[in-house]
Amino acid sequence: MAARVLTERVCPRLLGYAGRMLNDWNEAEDVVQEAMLRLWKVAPDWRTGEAKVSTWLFRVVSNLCTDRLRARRNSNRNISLETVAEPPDPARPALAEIVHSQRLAALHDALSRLPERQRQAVILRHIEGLTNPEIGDIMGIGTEAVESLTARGKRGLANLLAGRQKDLGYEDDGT
Amino acid sequence: MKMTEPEKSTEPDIDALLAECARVEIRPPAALVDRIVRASVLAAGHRGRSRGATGRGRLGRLYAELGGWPMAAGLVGIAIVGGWLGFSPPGFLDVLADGLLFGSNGVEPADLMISLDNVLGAS
Repeated sequence: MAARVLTERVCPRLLGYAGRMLNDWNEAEDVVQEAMLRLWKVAPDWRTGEAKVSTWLFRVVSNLCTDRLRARRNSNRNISLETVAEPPDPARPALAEIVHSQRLAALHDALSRLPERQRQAVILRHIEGLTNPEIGDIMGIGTEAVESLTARGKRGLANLLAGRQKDLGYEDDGT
Repeated sequence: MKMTEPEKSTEPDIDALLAECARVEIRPPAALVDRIVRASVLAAGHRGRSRGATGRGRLGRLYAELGGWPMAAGLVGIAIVGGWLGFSPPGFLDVLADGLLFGSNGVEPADLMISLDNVLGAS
């Protein structure tokens, strides 16, 4: 079935993206499901060559994540480091691998502390491996703005992780 | 795996960290995939039903009310004949029209025009 093939092909990347944006895998699943449902709705009217399905889906996921992050801010719901490092559902071995990895947990925590647009650009560029024009298309900005956001995001990550050498596996040979 | 450097560094290697993160394989839970695939089936079914109720169904009923295919064939036939007579009339048609209008009864084209004699004469 075409729907299953497409779902199995795009879902891992969408789930990874949403999970890292929201720092909440349950919410990420809801977002991915909603995005795919929207795809099924527009599928009959889809015009070939208008946009790549994956780009369109990333854009929808971005918007849904933005909505949820805004709602989270409005309700003052904080996602703490403890929430990030929380033991995962054993039914999800791949996600468990992410959460159990101390280094990746530290990175995810740092990502969650970046401004939303910088986080979005860094994840799409350096984790999802999209090109700058694709990211610009998803975020609705130019390529130069993407480069700027990515660079600032990486600098922000470096600053946030500077004091967490042990979490990152750096040897603390001086002390 | 340690991300050590020869000299003590306070700057973490962000590129290496991000690359490590990118290598992690995310496998969506089977239940999520199943939910999404089921939603696609439901969406397809819903589209089919709504098309039947609002789109082709309504037009189809109107078409049937107006006479169906005999009505459509008649309209098309009349349109073709009308187009033919308008753009490329057969030669005998002019003769036939002249004969009917101006032939034996002595009527001339000028007789069919509105006379302004009274109006002009009055002024």
